[in-house]
Amino acid sequence: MFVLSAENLSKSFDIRGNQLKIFSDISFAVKPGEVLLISGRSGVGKSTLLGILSGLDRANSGKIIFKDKDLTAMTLNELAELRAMHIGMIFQSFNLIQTWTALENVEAVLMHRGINAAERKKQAIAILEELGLGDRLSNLPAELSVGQQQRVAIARTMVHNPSLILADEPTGDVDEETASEIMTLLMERVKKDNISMIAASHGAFNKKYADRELLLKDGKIFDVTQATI
Amino acid sequence: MNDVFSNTIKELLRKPIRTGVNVFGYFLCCAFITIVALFLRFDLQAKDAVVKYMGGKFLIYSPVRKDGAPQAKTAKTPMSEGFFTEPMVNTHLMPVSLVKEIAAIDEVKAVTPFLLFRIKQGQDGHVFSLGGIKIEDKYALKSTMVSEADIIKGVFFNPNDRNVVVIDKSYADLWNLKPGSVVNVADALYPVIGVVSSHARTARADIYMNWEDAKIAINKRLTVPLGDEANIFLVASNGGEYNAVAMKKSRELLEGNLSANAVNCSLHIVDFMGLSKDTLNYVLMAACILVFLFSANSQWSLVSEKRHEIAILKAIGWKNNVIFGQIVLGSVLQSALGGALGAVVGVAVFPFCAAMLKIPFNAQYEFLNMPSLFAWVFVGIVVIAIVSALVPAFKAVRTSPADVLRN
Ligand SMILES: Nc1ncnc2c1ncn2[C@@H]1O[C@H](COP(=O)(O)OP(=O)(O)OP(=O)(O)O)[C@@H](O)[C@H]1O
Ligand SMILES: [Mg+2]
Repeated sequence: MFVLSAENLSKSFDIRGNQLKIFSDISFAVKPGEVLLISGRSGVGKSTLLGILSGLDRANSGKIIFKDKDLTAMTLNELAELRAMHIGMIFQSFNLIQTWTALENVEAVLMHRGINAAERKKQAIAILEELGLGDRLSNLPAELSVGQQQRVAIARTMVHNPSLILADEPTGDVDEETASEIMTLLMERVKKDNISMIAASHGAFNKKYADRELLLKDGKIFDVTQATI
Repeated sequence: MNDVFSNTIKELLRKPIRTGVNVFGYFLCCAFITIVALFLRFDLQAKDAVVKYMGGKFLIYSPVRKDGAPQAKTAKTPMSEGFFTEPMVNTHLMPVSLVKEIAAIDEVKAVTPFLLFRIKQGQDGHVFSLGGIKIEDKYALKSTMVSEADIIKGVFFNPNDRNVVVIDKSYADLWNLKPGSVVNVADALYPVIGVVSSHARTARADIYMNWEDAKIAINKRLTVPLGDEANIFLVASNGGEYNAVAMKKSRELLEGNLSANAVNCSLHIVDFMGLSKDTLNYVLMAACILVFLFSANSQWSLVSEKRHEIAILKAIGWKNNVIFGQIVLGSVLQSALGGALGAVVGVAVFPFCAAMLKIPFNAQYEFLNMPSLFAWVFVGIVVIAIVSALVPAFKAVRTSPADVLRN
């Protein structure tokens, strides 16, 4: 039983009439609680792949089955709903909204879902406190350290209890010490709640956190887990 | 929905200066539109009053005969002299006896014959118009042309006055004439006894004479002398609403031997008055386009600025309709606030603008239906704001978050 499985995904971009092939016919799957690392050189299409898995972008062909549902057949609204309910995303540059406070950034995930404001706030505060940011709720991202910003981003990823986390270079912008601090926090929760994670990285991500490593190269994907052990 | 609303408000308050500038923009536009709309209303009401005042009057003349016959009695010098003030317009002579028949029409209140002849002055050769009127048709003259009430200098004709003239103010001004001056009409001299104002009327002449005097003067210039004939009938109907019927019946009456034209003068006069409705409409339209551009531009730049933020919100699961709704609602809220303030201030400032432009703003004109004016301006500005936000909102929705967020 898989949380998500990708079958024969292909993606190419049309650049002024020229087809730029990124990858073709790649297949893989992730089990509950599994941490999957997708590695590969810069520009091979890791971010593009994560974008497709999250439903923010569409593949040219292939299927993505998430919890028995085919993402490729869903409408944009259904995909948004899916992200809102089940998927957490985390990015290299955090992608916090700069004009919003830490609390507002986290709360945003729970908005437009019929959860009342007080309840939203309660849940957001709870997770921020858990991540040690209880006294920084009303700070803007710019008023926080890089590590603190990344913790806000983790809180945002986790606040709605997702079953899958898609992480694009989650530790790409921070020093090693901060990176391990962040990963410890992230992995703690991932393990505790049995969350699956697909992380993309061209190197900064410490492989010890990954259960499996897939290498994206020349438009194909290779399971290189054995090779690294 | 609730979240969309509270979020929109929150967003607007987050950037108070930007929001303030936007609201102020809508405010200015709306105040301007309100003032222009008020001018338009005022102008229309003023014209309406004129039409009402002029409304029940028209003139009848006959440009062609049914049998195609030319004008029987022509001037000796037809280029510069003839019936009517313009050489291009031919008015056939009609028997004065028709007056009785026209007067018998139910919708007609009064009618009087009029002799209007273009005549060349013997000494310096300028051309002026001579009007022969029946002084005894007091009521018909008063309501269609000139009467005692129009005198601004001197006196009006007494029924028995002969060989004197009353002149129009514009003619008096042109030749520097006043009561006591003498004018030369068809080589005879006539003392001026009065000057009448040149306000809008159904028909006018430069020099007015008693019917019999005018006939004598005109006959001197004709090849065949006049009988009991007139080239124009001036008619007052029972009121503006009866005008059309009265005109139709009068024409039918004349169709026997002449083809008659009945001209409702007031409508034409209105065309020459004040601001034209079209001008103001164009100004209004231009103002609306400006509001649209202003609004579209501010929403567009907002969406461009928020590209990244919108991509993030989509990534965390906000639906397109939520994002769309917030952008449009933001535009609506700002325009509604600015619009309402603008309409109120526009109304308050209007009398001062009118005073500044020396427009005789008269409260007696019930030109203000406040609630409907407010409603129109307000709804109009909000609709413009909605429409102008649509394209930016679509842009926001179409932004591919994958592209924006791919580092
Ligand atoms: N919308 C697009 N239009 C055209 N080309 C695109 C588009 N999106 C991505 N690409 C191209 O696809 C390729 C893969 O890009 P992608 O960002 O997925 O790489 P990546 O593996 O994440 O690289 P990095 O490690 O540097 O983040 C790049 O060559 C990029 O130029
Ligand atoms: Mg990338």
